[in-house]
Amino acid sequence: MTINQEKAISRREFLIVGAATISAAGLAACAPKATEAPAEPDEPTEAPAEPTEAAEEPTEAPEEPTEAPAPVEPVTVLMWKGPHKPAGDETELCARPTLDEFEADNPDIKVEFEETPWGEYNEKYTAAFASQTGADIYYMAAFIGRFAPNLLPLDELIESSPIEHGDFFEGAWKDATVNQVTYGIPWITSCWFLMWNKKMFEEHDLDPDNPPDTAADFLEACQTLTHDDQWGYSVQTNNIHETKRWPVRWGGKWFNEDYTKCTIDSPEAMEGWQFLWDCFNKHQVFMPGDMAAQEPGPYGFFRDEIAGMFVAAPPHMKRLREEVDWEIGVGPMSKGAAPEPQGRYVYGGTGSLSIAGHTENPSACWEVIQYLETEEAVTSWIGCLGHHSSSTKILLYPDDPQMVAAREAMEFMHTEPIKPWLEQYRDIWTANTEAFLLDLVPLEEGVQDMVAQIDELLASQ
Amino acid sequence: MEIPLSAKTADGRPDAQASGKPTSSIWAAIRNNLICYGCLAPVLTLFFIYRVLPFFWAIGLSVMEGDVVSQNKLYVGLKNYGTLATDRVTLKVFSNSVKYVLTSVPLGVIVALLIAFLIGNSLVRRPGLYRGVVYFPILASGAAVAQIWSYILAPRYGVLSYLLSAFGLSRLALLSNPRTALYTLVMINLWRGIGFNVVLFMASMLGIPDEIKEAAVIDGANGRQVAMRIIIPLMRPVILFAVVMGTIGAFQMFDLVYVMTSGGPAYSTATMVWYIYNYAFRYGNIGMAAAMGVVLLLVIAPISFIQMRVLGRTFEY
Repeated sequence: MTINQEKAISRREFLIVGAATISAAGLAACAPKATEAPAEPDEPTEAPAEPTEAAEEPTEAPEEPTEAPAPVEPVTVLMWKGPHKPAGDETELCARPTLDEFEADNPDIKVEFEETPWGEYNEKYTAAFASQTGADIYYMAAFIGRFAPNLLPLDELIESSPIEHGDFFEGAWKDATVNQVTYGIPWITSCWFLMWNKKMFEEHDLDPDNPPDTAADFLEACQTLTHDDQWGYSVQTNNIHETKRWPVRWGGKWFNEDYTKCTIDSPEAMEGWQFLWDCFNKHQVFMPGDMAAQEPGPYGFFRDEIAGMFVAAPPHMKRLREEVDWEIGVGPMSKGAAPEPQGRYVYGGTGSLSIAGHTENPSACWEVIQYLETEEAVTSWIGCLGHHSSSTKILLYPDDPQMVAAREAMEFMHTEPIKPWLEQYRDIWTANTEAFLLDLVPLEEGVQDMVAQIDELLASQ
Repeated sequence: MEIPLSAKTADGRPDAQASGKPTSSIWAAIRNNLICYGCLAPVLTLFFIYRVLPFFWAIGLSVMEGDVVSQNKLYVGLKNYGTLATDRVTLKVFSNSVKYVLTSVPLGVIVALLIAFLIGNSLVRRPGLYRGVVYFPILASGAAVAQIWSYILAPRYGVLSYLLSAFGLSRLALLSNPRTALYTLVMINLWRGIGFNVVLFMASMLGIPDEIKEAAVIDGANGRQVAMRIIIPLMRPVILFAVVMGTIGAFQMFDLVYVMTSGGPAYSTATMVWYIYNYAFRYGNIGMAAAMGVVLLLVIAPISFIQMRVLGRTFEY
């Protein structure tokens, strides 16, 4: 038998060898880095027979002064935060000036800051935590419930620091705590409130200085404001912050105590849902859902005097004041059937500062966080954003009556459940709420469907 | 052990392959073609790492439960597949994806063929300009296209609303109406991607020898008959390519949904890949995402196979 020395390798053979080589390379790459073996001494070091005697005379000082040790390279930590866009360029206007102050006082720590857009944080944070890379310091909002296992527990650090629990709103700690472990230091606490166009109110003989007090007053104001191409109120049917609060204002609760069942189909909750549905579909005093959902959104429609009222956060008001020439009314949301504070519940939440579990510089991160909690840093950064601090001791805008009113509305703050399933729960309720508010399914059926889906989600946890 | 004579090479060296030791032959072949394999190695390595490994990895993940950021994932067998079969949102997104494919693929091929005929046969003035205009949207990113169309379609301030109101028509909220949102996305994606098929079809059309068309004309065929019985059948391989790629692309529709509608209103534009993304990155259940990915593969693969069997018969000019 002759053999062809030039015979080409078969595809199968090549694949086998190729796969084996790549797998070997992959395994080699995944293997932990080998630590260098210490250089072996030529001979084993002998223990000294006797303790070394102390020098009888002090050693002479060297003739020439020794060189100063080379300056230590500053530790660099990376901070990620979702931007609060209504305030403008957060990095340039708010973050960098604050962090520059910190760096001036702490030359051994350098802080790099990156904005992580809200629309992308899920994939960015997921990829970062899955690969144990990414930032050292994170600004965490309600999604802390999902990422908590990848964060550093802070309870011990808090105990040994000047940070006092009592200096913050109690609800703020709730938003930074998962399974009784604290993973964040509350920083920004903000809640929504009602805004109204005082000029439009005056033109329609409504009281421009006070918001509609009850749901009945609210409906009446909406009816008065609605005509032609103008509506009393504007909100998206799938707004993740607002529409879910209506049944709560009537006394409903989304969950039972242990989060095993969705209870937002209770009779009182159904009354709230019915009120909301009526405003959209029966009275038609809310901007149609399909229009409010599109550009420029409720903010733009309120700004352009197409809607007389809407609810939003302080940064929206801060920006609005620069864009309109009429006066904005600020106050608590009109009260539903439930007693206060529940009757006026609006969305609110706390953003806290957390440290990544994988960071190589936890103490530097802690230094940065402690600085960011000082009044100076809070004023410089959070004050620039137009938000409120989570600290009960820091009042950022004492001379601004609208911001003071917005802060007072925090009394009616209704937070999200800090659970790993928050995003899926949000999708379920927004899609279902949208379906019945757009009148695709009857209200009762839509609510029952939603409750069934949320119950399935809870059961799967 | 003595090697039999028959297992020796012409110059008397043992034939390792015949003696049941294939590796030395493999190594000999690799040695002889070292440069070729060396050139191929980087690409194959990347292909293996980024295509082959994730494929098997995804199958493995599909029988697990847990967040991708979690170190501990539970083995749950086929539970994820069972959940998919009963989850009402999954059924909805699957049905949306099928609707999307059934409308976007035929439209993408038929409209592109028509445009290619018009431009390729110089039935319009300045065909070069039209070719550029039709191809231009492909150069824009999905996010940019989404943003542009969001403004065009805005019910109150959008250009379309303005034009409609000039004709006394009422405002349309195409993207926020569950009955029209999905088909609006089909039209936007058609606008964005049609140029690719047009260029493809024109290249194929220009490659058909003139003699064939002239012979048909001499035999008495009119323009329509030449198009339907000569040109289109001869373009079949390219049309097959467009159909298969269009189908795969349509099943993988994600960017416009993500940017323009987030799957809404009321899941009316939610597609399978959008749902996979949500499970992987937002809901923290990588097992469900992987199971949906496997199901998507099981849907696309046979459809592509059937399309290739039906449209892919060999032909000669």
